[in-house]
Amino acid sequence: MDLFANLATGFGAAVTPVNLGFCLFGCLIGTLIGVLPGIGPIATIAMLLPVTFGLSPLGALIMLAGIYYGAQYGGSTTAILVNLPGESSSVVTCIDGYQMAQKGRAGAALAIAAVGSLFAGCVGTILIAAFAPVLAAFAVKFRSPEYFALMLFGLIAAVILAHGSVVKAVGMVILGLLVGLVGTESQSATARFTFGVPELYDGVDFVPLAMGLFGLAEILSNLDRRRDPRAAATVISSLWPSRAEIRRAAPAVVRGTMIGALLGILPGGGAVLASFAAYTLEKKTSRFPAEFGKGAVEGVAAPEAANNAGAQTSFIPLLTLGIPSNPVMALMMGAMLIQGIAPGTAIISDRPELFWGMVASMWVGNLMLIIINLPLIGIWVRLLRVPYRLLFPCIVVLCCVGAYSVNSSTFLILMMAGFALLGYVFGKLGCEGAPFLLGFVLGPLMEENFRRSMVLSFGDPTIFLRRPISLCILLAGLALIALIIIPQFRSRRDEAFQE
Amino acid sequence: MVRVQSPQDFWAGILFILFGCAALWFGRDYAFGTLTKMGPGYLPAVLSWALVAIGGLLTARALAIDGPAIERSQVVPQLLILAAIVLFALAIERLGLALAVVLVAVTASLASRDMRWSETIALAIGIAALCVLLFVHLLGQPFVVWAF
Amino acid sequence: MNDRLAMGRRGLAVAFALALCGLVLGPRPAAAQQDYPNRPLHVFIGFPAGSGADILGRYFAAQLEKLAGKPVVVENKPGANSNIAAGIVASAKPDGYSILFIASSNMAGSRFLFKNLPFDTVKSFTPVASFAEIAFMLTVSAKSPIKTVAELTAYLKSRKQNKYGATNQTAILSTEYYKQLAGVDAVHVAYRTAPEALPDVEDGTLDFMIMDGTFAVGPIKAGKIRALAVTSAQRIATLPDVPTMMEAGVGNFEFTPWWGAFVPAGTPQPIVAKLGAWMNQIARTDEARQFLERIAALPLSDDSKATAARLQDDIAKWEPLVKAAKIEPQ
Repeated sequence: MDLFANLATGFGAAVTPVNLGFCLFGCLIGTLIGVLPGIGPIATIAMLLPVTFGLSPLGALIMLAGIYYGAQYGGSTTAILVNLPGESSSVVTCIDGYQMAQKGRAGAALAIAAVGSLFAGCVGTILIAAFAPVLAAFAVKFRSPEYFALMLFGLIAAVILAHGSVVKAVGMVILGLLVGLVGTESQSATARFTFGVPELYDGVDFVPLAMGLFGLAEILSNLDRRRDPRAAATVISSLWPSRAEIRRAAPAVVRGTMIGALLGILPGGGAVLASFAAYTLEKKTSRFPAEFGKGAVEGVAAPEAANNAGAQTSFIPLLTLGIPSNPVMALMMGAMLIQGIAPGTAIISDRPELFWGMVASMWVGNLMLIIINLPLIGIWVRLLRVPYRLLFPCIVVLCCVGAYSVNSSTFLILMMAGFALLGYVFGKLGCEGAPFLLGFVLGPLMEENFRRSMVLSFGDPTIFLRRPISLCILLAGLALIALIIIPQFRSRRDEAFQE
Repeated sequence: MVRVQSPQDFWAGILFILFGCAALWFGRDYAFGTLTKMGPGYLPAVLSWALVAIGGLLTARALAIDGPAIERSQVVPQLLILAAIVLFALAIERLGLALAVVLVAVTASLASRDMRWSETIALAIGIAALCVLLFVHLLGQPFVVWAF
Repeated sequence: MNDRLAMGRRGLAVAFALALCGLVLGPRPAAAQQDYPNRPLHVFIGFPAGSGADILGRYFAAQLEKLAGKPVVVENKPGANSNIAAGIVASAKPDGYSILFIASSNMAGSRFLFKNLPFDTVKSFTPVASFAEIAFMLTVSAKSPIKTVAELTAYLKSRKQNKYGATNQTAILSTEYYKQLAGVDAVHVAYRTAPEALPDVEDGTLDFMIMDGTFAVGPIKAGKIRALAVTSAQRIATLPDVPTMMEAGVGNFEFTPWWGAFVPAGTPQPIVAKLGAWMNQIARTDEARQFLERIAALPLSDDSKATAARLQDDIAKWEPLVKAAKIEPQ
């Protein structure tokens, strides 16, 4: 069959000692920067771009790709261990992953994340191999109106994400939206809420926000407790997930993979939704909804799978249409341009060894990553046993260094401190960070797409209803709102009956 | 005298109202526009009012319905951590990475009740060395290690 | 025991507070004045990592590193029409270690587009060299029946609601210039990046778009969009069949943004000359020409004086454009 012949070509090209070496190097560096707060794949790939001038095209792309999905694996690690999300997609893993670690199930959480990611990566690779053109055609149908509908849907889902009061969650989403609006608005080029600070012209940077709001705020609130917050976790639990946990995690992984694979192909913000959407789905369909937010296994398995599946499928628009789905893909496109390859539909037919070589190397890369990450779990868990008084200064240091490395700007460090204080206050008031963050990420995208849709339709708001895909998504959003409101009424009614 | 039954909700509501008002104040000059021709000030204004409304709802509810109290803050440890971060921002360019990290590690450690000086100094030097090795030598980040 | 610890801690907290004050008031260390360069150079680019501009800049930075013998670190500071990057270099020490890579359109245009710039694009900088010329291209969907600029102009004139895409001020201004010269009307749809706009150009949602050549070449060659003209004075090597706007009959339309290297004003002349010589040297190599042609660009090797003259020309050209386009300075 054609597919097998192509895969054979691909493996032949990818499994050479040189290219395997590039793959390993990429995966190692990727894991490292994923674990380190602050530095992300974008900065690293940008730094390595000049190095790729002199490499063979396939080798260069394999290495850079390895960095990208390696960082996904690494980012989950810090999210679970110390509540530090490496990327916007790891924020969801913080919610239940960190709670699992608090309960002494860090090893289980890490293992589930790793294996779930491997499964998702493999499925993602198969999807690319078999369905790339079909998926690309689907992705292209998404334009401004569809993206607006999708972002709106995501924001409604953000409210479900919260495990506390719905009203507060809505408030946090709105606050996040407002903070997300800081920066220069693209259509009118107006600077909003920047107070004349140059570093804010492009918006609040995600890294200091996330590190402050999640990782550092957590440290601030831990210091209020007299005893080591993980004293309960000195019960030596097994490093690996229990059978019950695996049984619950497995279907979650499959569901997460599907969601991630679909949302990942959407250029312009799809992947960001993947982990949130997967988490929301799990929470709403689980038999144990009360566990979410306190260490539910599905809350780690599904988002992690969604992440990695999305990371794989986000290559599709680039390799088939020449459209990068996110800044990392833009860099990969840059690397291709440097090599004299113009990405677009021509790649699959003109340079098949490049396309299939990359596909094959993704599978190899995922395998390498699981081999790297599984043994590391033991080390990470041991690291957690280090007394907190020695651990938290290290986290503070790494956050500071990471924040500075984003832009060599001390302003970002001060901003991080501000968010740490804010996150601490939020914690005291029972407000959750995840809805805030989702609002922050989705808000500007939603506004931009809404405005562009309005300009394109010359002011006709029915454009969202006339296009089938956006109509479907909006209806789904309404259904979601109903899902949120109805249980509230039912519980109030029950209370009334009891009285 | 109305009693606050749910302190967390009450103060969360106040916080939202304050943020909403601040956003309304700072965004007062942005062009508003209409729904179909949105100006840059449209969404900020809408959201700010929504936030104020939610804040109002929370505060009102907090006066009637019971809710959890706000846990006490120790204050000093938190201030020390924040001071440590600010210290880093000031020190990184004036003193270099190595010294900045040492200062931060020590200041942050002071926030813990159980800190011991011997441990802290060793930790500070250790993590400083690690950062230099990792960020400067391995990852090639443009940090000034030692500014003298 | 706890009390003593608490008091000791408080004392130390005070000590640190004092140290903090000392740091705030203390001076920054002075840079060593020896043979240039004796430490890494920093190149600032006002575009995000991975963009066409970034790739161009990184190539030259990498070549510069070989000539300078010291690491050249590229720092992306996107935002505000490259003003953030420009601002950083304008206020940096004039010792030759902070270099700005910027497009002429940003350098010339910012003074008219922004009200309260903390620097002056002419007075705050010393030009070092120009090193590349970029073409912008007027594109339409490949499915469109329009094959020449004249046809496009006729088409736009016959309809009331035209839309064009643009990702930055340069594109907007050049489109406004075209609109003015051709006597047509079209509404601007904003996008953050060219790849975002591509699907809308491809399927005709946008009637036309003036696009950065670096990104446009790929889709053009892949047959998704069609280039009706290039905005430069001459045709470009990678697309020899595409006429220039002037050839296509659009009056005096010539718009060739170029890339230049700038340092803060007051940088010693020998350092400026050294840097300039290196940049010129890189631009004159065959390798550079080949690399630039791949991204629809041409090498330039002007020295400091010639670059300054170019900039003045551009400023003179931009002023009436901005006024005619009625763009409000922010």
